Amino acid sequence: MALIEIRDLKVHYPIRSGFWNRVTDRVLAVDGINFDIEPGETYGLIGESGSGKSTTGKAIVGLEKVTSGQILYEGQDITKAQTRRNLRYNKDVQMIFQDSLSSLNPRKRIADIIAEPIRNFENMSATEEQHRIKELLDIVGMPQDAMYKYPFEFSGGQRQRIGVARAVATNPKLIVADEPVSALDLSVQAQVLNFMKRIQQEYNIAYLFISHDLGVVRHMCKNLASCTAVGLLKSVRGRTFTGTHNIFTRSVCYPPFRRLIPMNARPTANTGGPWRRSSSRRSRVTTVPTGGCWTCNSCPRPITLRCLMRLWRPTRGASSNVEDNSQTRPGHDSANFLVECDYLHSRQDDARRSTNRRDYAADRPGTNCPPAPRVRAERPVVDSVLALAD
Amino acid sequence: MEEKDDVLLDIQHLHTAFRNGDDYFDAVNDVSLELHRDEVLAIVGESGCGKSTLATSIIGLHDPHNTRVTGTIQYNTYNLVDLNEKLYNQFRGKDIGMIFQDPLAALNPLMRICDQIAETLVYHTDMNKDERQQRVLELLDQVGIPEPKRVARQYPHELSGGMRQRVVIAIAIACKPPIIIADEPTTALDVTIQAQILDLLANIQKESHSGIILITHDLGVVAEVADRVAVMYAGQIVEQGTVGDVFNHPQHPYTRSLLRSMPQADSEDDELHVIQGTVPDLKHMQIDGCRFAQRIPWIPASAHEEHPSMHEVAPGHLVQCTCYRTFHFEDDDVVAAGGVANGTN
Repeated sequence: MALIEIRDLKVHYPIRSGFWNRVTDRVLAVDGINFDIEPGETYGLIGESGSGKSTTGKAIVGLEKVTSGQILYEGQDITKAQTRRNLRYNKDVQMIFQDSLSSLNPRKRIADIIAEPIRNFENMSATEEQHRIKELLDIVGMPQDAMYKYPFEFSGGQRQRIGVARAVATNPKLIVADEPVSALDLSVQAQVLNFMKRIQQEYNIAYLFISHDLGVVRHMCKNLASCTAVGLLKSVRGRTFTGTHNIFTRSVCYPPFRRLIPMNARPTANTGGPWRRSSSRRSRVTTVPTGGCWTCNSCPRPITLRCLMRLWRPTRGASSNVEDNSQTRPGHDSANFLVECDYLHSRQDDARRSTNRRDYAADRPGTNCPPAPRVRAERPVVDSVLALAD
Repeated sequence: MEEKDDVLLDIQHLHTAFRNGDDYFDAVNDVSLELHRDEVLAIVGESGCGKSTLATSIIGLHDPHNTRVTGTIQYNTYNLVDLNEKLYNQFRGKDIGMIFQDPLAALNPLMRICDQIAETLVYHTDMNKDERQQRVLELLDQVGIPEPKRVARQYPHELSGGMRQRVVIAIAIACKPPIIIADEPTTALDVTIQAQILDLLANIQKESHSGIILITHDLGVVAEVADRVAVMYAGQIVEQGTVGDVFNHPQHPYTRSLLRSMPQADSEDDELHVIQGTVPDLKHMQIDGCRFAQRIPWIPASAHEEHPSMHEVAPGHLVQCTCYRTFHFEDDDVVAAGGVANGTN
């Protein structure tokens, strides 16, 4: 059974304006996402900044008020504070913050910082507590005299480890790690990641690993979900990275992912693998159209009629057959219109590969995008859109 | 490529030392570099390796009371190290543009964007107000800011991180400087914006044929945009060469360790490689000998040089110290590693 089930989670922020400061609009930070986290697994959540990754994480920990939807923990909805208290949820779910310095109280010593969750949730005597703190510092590989120091006395990597020590202090079952290594150097990053993996194996902790670095996520996670401006796009469940490995080889032509891989030139082998540059620049200096298909922005093709179609399609939102899809095809948790866009893009890419472009252009003068071959007929909605566009 | 007039900036034996009490500690130690026209030179290394200090030394941002800069930084006929503040100001902005790491800290919160960009133009050009205004809008447009007219009237806090970084870039390129120093231009940004900013830099370079010094600790960025790489460790350049050379045939132990500690695509459950210890701080830096030696203690002292010098392993590919010849990772088979090293030589 899943440790945590997220069901149609929505977090909306009100925009207030006018004389009465009334709510005039809402920001849809997280809009209807679904996924499960199994005990002891690492679940990766990737996306651009502003796509709602952190909001999702905060909502799960309970730092953000949920607009609608459910977060089920042991079968009970914990979006209400009272349920969280009853279930001792706050003890079982902890968080590692992105900015380690601002998440540690500058006026407290490390001992007090780490002891805070212990004092909140456990009934320990002073000596027991001391003992536990020393144990925790030992786990994260810090010297014991660190407990009498203040946060500013440590380097970024050490601070991040203190954050981890605080998070594991109550023996949690889930840790929401919100970009734990994005501010760190390569070598330090490696230390923190190794160490997070080690404590996961030792204490069977599940992670919700939020990051925008695909290399790091790939290293950490078995399951991967990508988060977009609208919601959870596609989550590849029950598959190891062999499935999503394609992201790296770009054979899954999934524009949001491509945008998340800034560099194609990742080493493929230890020190001395072939480094290559990407053959073409994938991103152009443009801004994301508001309310449009933001994948078009990273699309290497010029705007076609199909792309324009996407600009007015979003308002229709997720169509009902998407739900059916998620049921008939286990392994894909959730979808909405952007998946369809993605689908279009990938089909165009397929077409690119399979069709000789010159032949195609000879057939159809005046077009610059080959048609998608009629494969993957399981998406009738998309096909009808394509037909319209054609 | 190696023609004389091609060299924009010639740095020789640069030392930058910070004062602590009565002692000076070298943050940049005997660095020699050349920047050519039309190239991107990347400087990589962990934090605390002196990358940023090197950059600020070039543009002369150090307080002479607490810092001692020696050596030569030859630009045209000038040695920038010897210039006084007033003369230096004629170069800053006009000949050397700098893009700072933290765009919010680099911008004045009380000035409108247009005034901040125009400030450089006021000092270095004789444009009148209208021309400056025109140029500001042009620059904002060039760095890909939508609605330049509106943004020009805004204040830094009204812009997002990526937009702010673009404004900083606009300021740096306002006078079309031949040298642009980009000090971790994308560290504060997320990857998608990062790709856009890097593209932008590449475009600017293509247009103005300037030389860019790119300082970063992201090896992915380097592989993507740089032509040449200098790897810095503890204030010294330990390896220098073209991107292909350094990434495909890394020689120095530090470069190899760094490349190895990147999360990699094909290893799943493996532990990431961690370089033992940390970059030594200035006070405890050993003056002589290979500075990386203490982080690879399993390599015998005899493998290192007493006074490390640069060795040319391939044309234009320089490596410091002799330890690269016998270096192997601690967990590797010694014989195998030796064979690989010999093979690449």
